[in-house]
Amino acid sequence: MAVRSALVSVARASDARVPLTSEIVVGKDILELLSTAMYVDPLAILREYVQNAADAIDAAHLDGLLGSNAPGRIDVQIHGESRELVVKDNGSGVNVADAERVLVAFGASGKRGKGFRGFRGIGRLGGLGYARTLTFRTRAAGESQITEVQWDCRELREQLLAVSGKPGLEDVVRRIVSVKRVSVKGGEPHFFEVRLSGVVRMWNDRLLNSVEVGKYLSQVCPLPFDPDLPFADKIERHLANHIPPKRFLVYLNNQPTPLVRPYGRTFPVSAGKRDRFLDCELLEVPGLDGGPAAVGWILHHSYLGALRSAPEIRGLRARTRDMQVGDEEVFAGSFPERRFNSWVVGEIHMLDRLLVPNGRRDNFEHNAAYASLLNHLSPICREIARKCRASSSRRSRLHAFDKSERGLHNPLNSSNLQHSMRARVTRCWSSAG
Amino acid sequence: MANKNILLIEPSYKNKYPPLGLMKIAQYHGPRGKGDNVRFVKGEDYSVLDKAWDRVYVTTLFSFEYKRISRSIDFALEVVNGSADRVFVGGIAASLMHDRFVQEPRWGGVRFIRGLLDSSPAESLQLDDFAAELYSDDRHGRPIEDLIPDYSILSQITYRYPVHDAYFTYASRGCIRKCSFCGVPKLEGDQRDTESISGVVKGIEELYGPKKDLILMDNNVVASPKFKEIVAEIRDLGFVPGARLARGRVPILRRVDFNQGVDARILCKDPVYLRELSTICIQPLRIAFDHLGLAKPYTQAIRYACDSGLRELSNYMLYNFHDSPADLFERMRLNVALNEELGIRIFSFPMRYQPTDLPDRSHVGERWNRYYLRSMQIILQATHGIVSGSPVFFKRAFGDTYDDFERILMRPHQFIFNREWYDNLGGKDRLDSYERDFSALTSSQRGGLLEILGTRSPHEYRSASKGLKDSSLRRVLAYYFPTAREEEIKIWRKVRKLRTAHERQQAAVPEDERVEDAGLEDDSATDVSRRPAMEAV
Repeated sequence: MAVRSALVSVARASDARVPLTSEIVVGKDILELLSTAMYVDPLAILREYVQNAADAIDAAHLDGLLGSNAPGRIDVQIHGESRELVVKDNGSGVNVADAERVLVAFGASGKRGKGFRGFRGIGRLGGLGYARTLTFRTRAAGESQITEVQWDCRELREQLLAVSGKPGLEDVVRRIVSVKRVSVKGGEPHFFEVRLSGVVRMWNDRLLNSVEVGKYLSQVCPLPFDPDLPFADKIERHLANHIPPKRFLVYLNNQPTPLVRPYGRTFPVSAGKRDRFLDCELLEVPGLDGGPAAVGWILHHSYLGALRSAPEIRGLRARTRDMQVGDEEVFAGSFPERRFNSWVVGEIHMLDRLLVPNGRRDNFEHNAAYASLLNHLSPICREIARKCRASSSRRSRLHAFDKSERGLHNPLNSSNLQHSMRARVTRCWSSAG
Repeated sequence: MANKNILLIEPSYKNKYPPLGLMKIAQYHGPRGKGDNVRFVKGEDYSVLDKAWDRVYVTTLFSFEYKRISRSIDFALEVVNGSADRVFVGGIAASLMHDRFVQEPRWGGVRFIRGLLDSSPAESLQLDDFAAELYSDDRHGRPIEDLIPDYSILSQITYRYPVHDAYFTYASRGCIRKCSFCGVPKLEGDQRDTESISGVVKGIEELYGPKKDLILMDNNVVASPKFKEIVAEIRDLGFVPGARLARGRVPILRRVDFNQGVDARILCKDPVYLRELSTICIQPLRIAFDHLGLAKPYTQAIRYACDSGLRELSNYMLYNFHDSPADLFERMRLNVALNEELGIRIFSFPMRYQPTDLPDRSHVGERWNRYYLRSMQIILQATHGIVSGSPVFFKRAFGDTYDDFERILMRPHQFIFNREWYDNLGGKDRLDSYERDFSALTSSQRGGLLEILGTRSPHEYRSASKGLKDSSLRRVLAYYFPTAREEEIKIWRKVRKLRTAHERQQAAVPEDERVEDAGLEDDSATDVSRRPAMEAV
């Protein structure tokens, strides 16, 4: 009986939960997850750096470092020969006292919940997988020192491959990061620069391809609309009620004009076929608490087919604080058939703070707010699909009509009669659509 | 959180009563509840696709309507663009065939609710507050089951339920019995009393105006220890014999209907039950007569009913269970005898047994066969499921003896369907010829014939005939070959005007008093494949 009681008490003791007492181990491999393993498309690191630059410029505006009418400036420079890529902004910079701590921290951003675009404190590390060295240089307003934090990516790779020993994250970081402080007089009063040196050749060397980089930034970054777009003002006015103004411009390779969004007056649909925007539909998606969860716009056109020749504008896209999240396919699943997404030109800007981009920013965290957003997008996407189908049917009928008309050899088959019948078919199907 | 879009779907089957569960859910979400926008549709109404729905509820009723139910669930998923967590399916079929619904891979994530919504809304709908689901914090609200049904949603659809001008409620739930053919033990469990029916009646009246009838869906009200109080409460609500509702110029007669029937085994024990029931305007009094073994208590109950002045009777007759065609015939015949002896009117409603977890009406009882079931269905289709207690009508439809009945069941289906044509008009020679040839068959030949008829579809009879060596059997089988379509249309046109006699018979039992059996017109079970074309003539 006594033995049985003892067994019972042992069992009870092992069931009891106690706080963890052992050391928490954070191994070196976490660095791999945050760098090379993080993004599918190398260009995504540019998004991260431009996003940080945009936040720094917003902070500079808040601190009164930039004139109220003077836009900040973000420069993206590609040096093909020296294989360097530089992203530089004239934002608030990081002061000397904090720079080392801030630029070597992992997932400890102080920006979360303060309305900035970035908030996880990991995007900065994206460049580690794509260059030999990654250097952050910065100067804060009112300071005479520039802080330079350099990551040796080659050494990082060796450390990650090393099988002997089990160094922790901190050991590895101390081996690969060096810090330099330089005193300066004059020069730029405040800035932040990211410099990737010895950019590795990857994916057709996309990171150093100016055209590819330009196209990517024009789709992803918060940029002004091309004045050629007839509905630019309408969209800007609609968005201005909900999202903060863009107070910076992005320049690529010191070109005289800043980058703009890729939407113009006309666009190519497919080889030899062009179309133009006919109307702009403004959207407001209700949120769970009654306020808007998102706003957006759709540029309607003739829906002649999938926009095969206009990959920069096609697809219903998502943006948070005006930075694109995911790619053109992010909402394709909301259409009755995914293919109709590539007929569409439009954007949805997230407003609800619960609509959070995931760590890779290729989609959103799945929660009730996101599910509700997708739910409200469904009828919008169905309506677009209906337009696509109607347009397709109309064109098929006209094609059939034209084909049969060509086959007629009736002497009464005058060109006027053909024209009026074709017009009737067109009208009939337009009204049906 | 108000102003959400809530969609309620009832599959496109024909049914007699409005969907009470959905009406209560409508009350929960509607203007007196959460303040949401509630839309009710019957079947797949594609106009709902222009809106984003925060939640979709699908009700289910007959398990054998699985195909139509499936269509509705698929449609619900289309409506929410595959977001299955917004779709809730409940009701009788979802409860009785719960596992089958849950195991369907394409419905993963849909919540199938078994039984009643009788705990708090969040609990009974399995809402997850961790996932921040809509109203998942409603853990202490009144159970949806206890809410007043929202009658206003019925005006959103064009379908008209045969019974809609009524208070629908329960005085008790569950049942004391555990009959193996019945879904109630699985659905509702043991018998227990519910809250006051007056509360429900007054609640409905207050919100939606007075209703003509009182429909009590108790499974076995006479087994309730509070039976007398329940009847007294019904009297107090004004549902006494001759009660009328003042509406329009002519006040209309009201009625009380225990629509699931009352238990003869209890009624026969003491005349007081029927004396009590005679003090309310019960119309009709429905007594179940599920097998011939109940003949004694059933007869006694009928006699007590007659003694108490209840002369308009109706009864359920289960068949295709453990019974035989002879058992069914005897039960029907007994009603005719009682009608004649007591001068009363009993209308019977034979109801074909289907296991409650079978997704179609394909079950064939061990003492029935597929051909007889099809014959029975065709006979009943002509009378909307009603078996008249009138000796003349009965004899014409079912024969005077069991042998007559079996010969009718055995007849080629076109002879049964176009009865008038073959019995009395241009088809009489063919029927006589068939009767002659059929009479010449031996008992074993008849068995062989039934084997062919019961295991094949009509379009296979011709090929089956080619393999027969027995010439007399082959000759009789030829009568069963499907008639040419043009010929049938011709017959149909000629007999059409004569159908009025049947219609008069049906008129004797108003539509709202007939028994709900949506599968009666299910052609898949009868293989009368050309029926729709003929009706379109």
